[in-house]
Amino acid sequence: MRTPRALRSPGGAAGAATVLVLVAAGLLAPWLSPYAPDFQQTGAVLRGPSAGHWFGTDDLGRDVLSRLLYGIRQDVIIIVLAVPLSKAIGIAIGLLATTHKAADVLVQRVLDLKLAFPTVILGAALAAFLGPGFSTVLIVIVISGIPVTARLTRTAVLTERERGYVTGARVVGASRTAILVTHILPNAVDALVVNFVMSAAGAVFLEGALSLLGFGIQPPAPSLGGMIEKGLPYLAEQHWGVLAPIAVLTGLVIGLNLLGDALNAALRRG
Amino acid sequence: MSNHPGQVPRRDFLRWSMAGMALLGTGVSGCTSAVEREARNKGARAGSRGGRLVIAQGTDIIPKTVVNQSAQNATWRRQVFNSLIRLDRKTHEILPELATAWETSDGGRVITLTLRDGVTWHSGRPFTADDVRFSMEFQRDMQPPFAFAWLLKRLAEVKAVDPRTARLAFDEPVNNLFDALSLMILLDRESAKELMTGAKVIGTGPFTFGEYRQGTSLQLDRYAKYWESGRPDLDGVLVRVITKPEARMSALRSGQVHLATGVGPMELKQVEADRKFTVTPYDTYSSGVYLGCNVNADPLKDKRVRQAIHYALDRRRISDEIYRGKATPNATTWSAGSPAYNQRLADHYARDLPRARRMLEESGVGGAELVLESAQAVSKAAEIVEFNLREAGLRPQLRVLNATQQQERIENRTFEGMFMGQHGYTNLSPANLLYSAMPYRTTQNLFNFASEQYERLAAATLSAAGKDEQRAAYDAVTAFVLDEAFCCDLVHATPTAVTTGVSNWDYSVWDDVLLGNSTVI
Amino acid sequence: MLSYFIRRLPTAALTVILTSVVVFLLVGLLPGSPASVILGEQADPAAVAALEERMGLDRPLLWQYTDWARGLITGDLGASYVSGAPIAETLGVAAGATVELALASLVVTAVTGAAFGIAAATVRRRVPQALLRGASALIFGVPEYVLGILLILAFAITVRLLPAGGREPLLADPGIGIQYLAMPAIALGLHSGVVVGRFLETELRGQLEEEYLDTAHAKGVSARRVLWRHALPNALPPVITVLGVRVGHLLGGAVVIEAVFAWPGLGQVLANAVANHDYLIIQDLVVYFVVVFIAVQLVSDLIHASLDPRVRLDGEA
Repeated sequence: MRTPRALRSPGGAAGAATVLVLVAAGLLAPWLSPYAPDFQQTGAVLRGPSAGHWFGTDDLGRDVLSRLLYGIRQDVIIIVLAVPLSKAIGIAIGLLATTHKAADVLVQRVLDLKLAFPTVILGAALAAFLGPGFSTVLIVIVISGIPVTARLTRTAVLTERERGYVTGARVVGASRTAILVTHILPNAVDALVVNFVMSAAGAVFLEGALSLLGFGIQPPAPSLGGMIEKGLPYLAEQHWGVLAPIAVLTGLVIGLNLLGDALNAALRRG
Repeated sequence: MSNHPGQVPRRDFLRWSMAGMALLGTGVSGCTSAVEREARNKGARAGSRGGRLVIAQGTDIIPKTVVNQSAQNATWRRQVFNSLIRLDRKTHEILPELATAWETSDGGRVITLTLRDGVTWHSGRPFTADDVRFSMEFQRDMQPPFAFAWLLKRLAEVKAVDPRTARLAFDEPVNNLFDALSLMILLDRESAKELMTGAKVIGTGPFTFGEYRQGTSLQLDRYAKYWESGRPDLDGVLVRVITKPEARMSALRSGQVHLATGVGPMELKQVEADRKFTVTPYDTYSSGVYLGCNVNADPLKDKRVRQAIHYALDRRRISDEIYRGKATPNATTWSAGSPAYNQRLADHYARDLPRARRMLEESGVGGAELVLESAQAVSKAAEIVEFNLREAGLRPQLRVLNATQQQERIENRTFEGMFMGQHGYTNLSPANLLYSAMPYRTTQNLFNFASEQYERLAAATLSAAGKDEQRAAYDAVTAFVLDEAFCCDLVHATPTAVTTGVSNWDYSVWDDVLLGNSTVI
Repeated sequence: MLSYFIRRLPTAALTVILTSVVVFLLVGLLPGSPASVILGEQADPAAVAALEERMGLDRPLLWQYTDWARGLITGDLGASYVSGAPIAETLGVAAGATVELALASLVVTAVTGAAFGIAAATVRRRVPQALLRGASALIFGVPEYVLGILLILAFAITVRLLPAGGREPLLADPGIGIQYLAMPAIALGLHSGVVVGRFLETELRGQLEEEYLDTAHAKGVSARRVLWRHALPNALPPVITVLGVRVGHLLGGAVVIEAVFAWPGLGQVLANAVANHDYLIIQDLVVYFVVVFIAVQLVSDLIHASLDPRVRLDGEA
């Protein structure tokens, strides 16, 4: 693993720190937030920042900071559920493609089909048939991450297979599955870690985009994208209701991208 | 470093990028600003009439629901169609439109209408008494139903005595026929079926129905052979659908639009201070926000649960914070202008959270999960209601219905639990509400509530004679509805329009925009 | 060239057909028919059946599919179930708005891409160089819709320079139209501009380090001339290919940007159709989107092939 080295680069360190702080804030939301995320305070609608409400209140008198923390938590939950699932399916499909020529052709065609679907269009189609909400966001993120992972796995396996140690193992008489699991996969882990981090950034981005289109997580549950969408009509009156989630969302996306870049660079330097 | 191969002198780079920015910026500087531009009368030629008026509305135009009062069609239904009579908005005095005279005989059972001469359909065909017969029969039987179908069903006969005279005969006397006639538009018998799709829309109104683009716009053109001489002044009207409130206000401020309807309290703040704009809150207060409970669904079968729900609601907060004080809390369906209005009953469900909690505990439904469905238009108020119900110890699940779901569930009366929506008719004859308004009507109301006592009490309001007897009848039926609590109002709001550069525009008792006399300045 | 095209065509056609089948089956096979989704749990079966009939969902699947597919090809898309309006017209009008936005943002992409690329490859001083890198990294990391919202806050709310949203057709009134177009086009195009710029920078650096340019410089040709006459023309073909690939990205991004700026294009039609359960419009739009995406991919591959002989030869082999 070259991961620790990646953190030594300034970009990698900054990215990791940003992501760490934000994720920690999200996970600690129940202890950090001054109010319940859905508590509506009577007579305090669209207030600007104050000592009681650091980022002010939204159109229903709810504390923006508290919703923000719970919103991060929601996005983290989505990442934790969707990205590994997406990777697992992607890896499985990628491995399937390396087993047989016919399987390879089939997999490539199916991946082509997915690539022809822009992700937001996929989101629209799913939202139409499943209804908007958490599960739709989850499925869109899972599906959107599959093709790249599958291709990456396929290429990695095909490349590694030609390496000396695999040929060696084969000569010794190891089974195909054993070779795959004990030799090839561990060597592809680094590439997948980079891919994982990049997909997490993509997930945060997608949650926001789907919310803006009205396909995202539904009220009263807070999410970063949902806060942006609900706050937009009041941008002129209470811009903190939008700026705060925007800053966090952008911080997460950039942080994860920086981290991914640094990991990638460390990986290439070998 | 300046002599490194390939380096471009910075001056060149700057010049180059300036050129790029200038290209992007064309029109931003120098030309007219879209933000500050004064309203410009695009269609007007010097010395000619009218010009083109541009309206912006926030909802899509839906031709198939044009026969009823609806925010979707309020901007255009009375430009394309006429009704037989209209009501003065303040006095409710009956004024002529396609009928020039009316006479009641046989103790209120027979009404004879004299029709206006020289009226033609936009297809060129002359308008006659037979068209009145067709329109009434069509709107009596059509699906989805016309709001006054119940009244038209009491018609024994519509007879075209001669081309200029129509006679309506009822089985028993009716006292609110003219409310119905002021809403009912005259439909062309040759094209009424195509009206449902918006493919062909033919009326007798001051403007003809032109190009219609779903979700985008509707073009109306001046009807040269309109019966009122010299009218309309305008060459045409363009109705634009601009769903985002902020975009609607931008269009208004930039002079792209002369009249914006359905403007929310939030957007009003942007224009209230500016003298260029006229803000017109309709004086009809016609729109009631209601919450009903499907009485077939558990645990809403229990009257006490329904009452507890209404005690839990913070009506004051909804009117103060959602409508910014431009609405009044009211649990009854009658607004202050209605003869049935009673302040004491309107305040019946003043918030009493401990009582609500206690009632729910007693009925054994504390902590119950309940579905709260809401129309898009009142979804923000629904979020407050959801919070209120949680405070009362319930676990409500809010679902905002989309237009199709809402339309279909209203038609089939299949709400899963509670439903919040908006109704009209709060300001006219109380009979309209008890017989026409879908959430409240005595038969086939949205919440499947049926009771003989309710029907008796409603009928009593029709037969009551004299002020005192009427008062008592109204209060009795109102108290009954409050007690059964299958549906109660939360607040009464009024639509608001903002105009700039329009003169002589008006709206009807039904909140329909009237442009027959309007001009753009 | 032609044979390359022909070789790619079956795959493209197959993808389109598969897409249409999947999109069609989603409605037919999902648990709970669209009618019962619309009517809800309290609906009785008769009401559901009646609605299905009105929506045309009661006929055999194969008939529904062939009718629908024929409509897609002939452009006879029928009427919206929700509003009753003809779908083809609705889509036509909205497509005009989306194409206008996509083209304008492509211009933004090309202009900013060129500016970023040339500047990054030629500016050598450390501070401007670092600023440039920082700016491009920031823009790259910020989602388009976030940039859009920030633009609204800056130029429509803080300084009232441009309208916050809406559209006035550019051709109808260019002076006004461009003011509506400016912010959404920049929000949508800038991100791709940075991508193209990075690519151009790499290409230019490669070109400028080529020896013959050193020779040209030694001969007394000005640095400016070297850039414009030698390096840029050589770096352009691959950059144009990248630009082509970005068109697909712009069309996808336009859907979200339209929502932010209330731009009445296809993305808004799609979002409204989803919100209103207008299945027919959703199915039509998804298939058309895929057709356009594949066409864009094909065309950019073609451009790539015509610029890079290896691809073409491979195809003819």
